[in-house]
Amino acid sequence: MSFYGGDDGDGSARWGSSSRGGSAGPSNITGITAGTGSRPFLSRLEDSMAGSPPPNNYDGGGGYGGGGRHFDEEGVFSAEALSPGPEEGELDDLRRLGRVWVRERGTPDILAWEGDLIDSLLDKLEQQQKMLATLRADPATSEEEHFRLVLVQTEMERAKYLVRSYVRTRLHKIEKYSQHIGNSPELQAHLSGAELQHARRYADLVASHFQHSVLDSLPEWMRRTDEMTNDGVSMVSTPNVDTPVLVYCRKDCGEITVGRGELPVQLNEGTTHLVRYHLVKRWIELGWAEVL
Amino acid sequence: MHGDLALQLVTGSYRSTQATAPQLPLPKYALPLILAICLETRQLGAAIQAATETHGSALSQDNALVCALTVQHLAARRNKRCLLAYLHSRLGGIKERWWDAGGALAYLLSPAASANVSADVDAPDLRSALSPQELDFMRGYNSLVLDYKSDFLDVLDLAAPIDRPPGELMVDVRVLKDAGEVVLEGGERVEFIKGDRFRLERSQVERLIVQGFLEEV
Repeated sequence: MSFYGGDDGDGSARWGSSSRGGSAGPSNITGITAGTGSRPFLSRLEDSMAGSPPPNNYDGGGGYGGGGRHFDEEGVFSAEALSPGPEEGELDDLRRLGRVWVRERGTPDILAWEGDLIDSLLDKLEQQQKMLATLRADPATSEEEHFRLVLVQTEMERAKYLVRSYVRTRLHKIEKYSQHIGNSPELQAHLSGAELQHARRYADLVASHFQHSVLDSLPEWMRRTDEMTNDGVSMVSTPNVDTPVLVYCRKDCGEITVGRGELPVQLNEGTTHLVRYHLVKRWIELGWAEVL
Repeated sequence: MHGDLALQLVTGSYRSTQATAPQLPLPKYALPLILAICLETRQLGAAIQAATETHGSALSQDNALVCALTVQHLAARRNKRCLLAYLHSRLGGIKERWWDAGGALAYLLSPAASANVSADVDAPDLRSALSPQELDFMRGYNSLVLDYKSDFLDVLDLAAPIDRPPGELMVDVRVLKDAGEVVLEGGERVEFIKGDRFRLERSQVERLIVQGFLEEV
């Protein structure tokens, strides 16, 4: 049990030096008061572990309804798990982030920044970190509870992974299209302030690198970085909206015309299609179509 | 022939995946070739300029001259495109290496980082493979991302690896290099001496693993 033993500074200051050491320590006075003090936290942690939804959901169990459990048992793409459209709003943060993350990775465009979601997740992670530290330092926490704490902690690491991967996927796209972002107000609206700042500074950085490395030694009329090449390719790279995406329709999305002169295709509820991104862009943004 | 050098530059960079594969050493910056291409482009530019000045308005009547100018013009633009493509692909590789090292710039530029892959005599370490401008870029990029990730830093480290989702919380590690005493997040102090083995939380020692101090068992 030695790796649980690490008292964090905060914990030892609060519970006194007697709490240092064993995991299921003697129930002396300080131990008991500490235990009762933190009991609500722990029971809430336990509640959230019970149905195996993510532990980040402190604020009541109302958030995850039946849909969540179907999700676990029948696989990600089962009809029960995905079909009811408006469920998006009812999902807890972690699951929503999961979807947002898949959507961001699956589309060539930069989608709207989910600032509120990320903020609330980061807040919860921070709270939970503190709670964990308190509980781990608490001698009244039993061995079994310690085991649960490890599960909670693992779940937190996964949540962090999702946040990290989401943010970095966006950063990657932002850097790729940084020059384009500078003159596209539509994309700018999709970025957070920090991302916009990053995009601008990155574009400047690359431009100055190109200038200093080669462009300065070329004839003056060739030093621009935003012209068209002879075969009509612009030097500013833009998201390729013709990239195919795999979408699942949560609602009837009407019909789309795939190519010129071809028959329109029905996007019925509950069907999966591989289509060019720009054809289903608005359905994806509305949440009617889910990127897989 | 115009553009031969540029062709050499891009095919070299296209054939080799070294620039973009972070586990391989970055090829040395092809400075002589780049200077030669710039020179060629400047000569082409001067030739075009001279032709337009001497012939002036009579330019459009002389078909042979128009042809020659078109070829020169295309060659010059192609040179520029090749140069930028070369630089850009290297930038991608530099960025990838930066993320792979978890944003540890000083470690990345130290000879130790490339000690195990320095089969190439031309470029013994990353620092000497980069041009001064690329080094500047890397430093600039470093501070740029550090700025960005500082918003998240009290909860998570954005630069931690994301190759695969976290599985186990704890990880068994063996110490490969002395790292001295390290204070972990929980306030624990661990003395890392070569050859020792520990079982620690992955998130806490991830950076040390990336930097080659520890090895997963």
